[in-house]
Amino acid sequence: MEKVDFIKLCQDSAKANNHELSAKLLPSARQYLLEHGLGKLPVIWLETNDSGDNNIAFMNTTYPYLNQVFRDMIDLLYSNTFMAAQGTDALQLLEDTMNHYQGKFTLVVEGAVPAKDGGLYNVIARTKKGPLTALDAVVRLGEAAQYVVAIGTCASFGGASSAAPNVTGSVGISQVLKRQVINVSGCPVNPDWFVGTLAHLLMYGPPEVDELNRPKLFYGATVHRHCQRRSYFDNKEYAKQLGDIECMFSQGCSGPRTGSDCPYRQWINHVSWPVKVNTPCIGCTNRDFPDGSAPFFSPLPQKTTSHKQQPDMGKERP
Amino acid sequence: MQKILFSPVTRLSGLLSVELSVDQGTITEADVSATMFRGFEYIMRNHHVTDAVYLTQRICGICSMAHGAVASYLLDQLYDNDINENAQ
Ligand code: SF4
Repeated sequence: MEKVDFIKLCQDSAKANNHELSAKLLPSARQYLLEHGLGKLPVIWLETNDSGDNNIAFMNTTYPYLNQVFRDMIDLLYSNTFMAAQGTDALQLLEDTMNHYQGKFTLVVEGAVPAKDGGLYNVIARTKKGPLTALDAVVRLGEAAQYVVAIGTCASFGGASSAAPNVTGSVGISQVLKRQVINVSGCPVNPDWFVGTLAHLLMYGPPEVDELNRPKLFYGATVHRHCQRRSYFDNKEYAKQLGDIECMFSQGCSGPRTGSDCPYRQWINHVSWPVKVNTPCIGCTNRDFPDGSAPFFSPLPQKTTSHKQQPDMGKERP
Repeated sequence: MQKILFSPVTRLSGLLSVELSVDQGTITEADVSATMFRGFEYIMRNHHVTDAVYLTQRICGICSMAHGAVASYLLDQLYDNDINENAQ
């Protein structure tokens, strides 16, 4: 499958109700690797200041399933969550991988990097030579990697880990690296966004990104644009309380200013998403999440942060 | 007395180190440290109380459901909500 077809496939799933993207992703990646004589993507996965939600969300991937991703797409060489090695063995593996795959591996970071007090608020491992902080590890590995992918909103922009008053001085990883970082934000990430980005890297290199360095494939349109309650919004019919079937703008929905394809891609094997279960979108893919979405149940104009940008009210609705 | 540093402990979510003191084959001290700090106690302050439902879920990506559910039960008590079993 050529790049243009792949991009079309990702965007066409807006119309399809059989989630063709996920189903076609693995066979096309496999075929492409075979035809071009390529190997799997070597990956080092670091967990920093986060809640572990993104690796859980990643495990939720369906078509391809997790084992298929491991078998056919990526070579997971270091991951605090998935690897069997531990202790000094694990650290040796990290060192060896970095040297052996210098300039060839993909660094995936899950979590923000606490920059205050020398990075001591997140220690990846304690060693005889002292603590190995997330700050040290991300900077060192980030410089040696071919691609750097931030998975989740903490790694992308700081997210919940950097919420006010941010006592640890946590920042998104692009703040500590002088290089391109592909942000795959979301709290947590939708497995399709992440696996889709990996597939793109594997086959065609870095995807086209938006102004926040997120793949346009998945973050190009607002939640509001494709929301199933959109006709209520257009008719100014708002929910009086949670549980009502009308538009939840009145209940604090951040959909109008949040880029993501949740309404049609949906979650947990494409079954549901927040608005469908009567809870407003809380804008978890945004750069200013969670502070910019709080108070979560207050309508957009009454949120704490005054949003300078006018929310996209979906004027360009197709 | 011998000291053994075991870090990182893997196959878990979050970061963990264990330091043992061993005296003649007996473990005399075991220090376990979770080497990550985000300060949720501080983050929760100055928020509207209903924000707890969504914010506390971010404490842990594995048991987020439990945090969110407990936060909403607490709100029900605070607001004196009488919610039928089905809606809970
Ligand atoms: S405001 Fe929220 S609930 Fe209403 S149409 Fe937009 S995304 Fe849907």
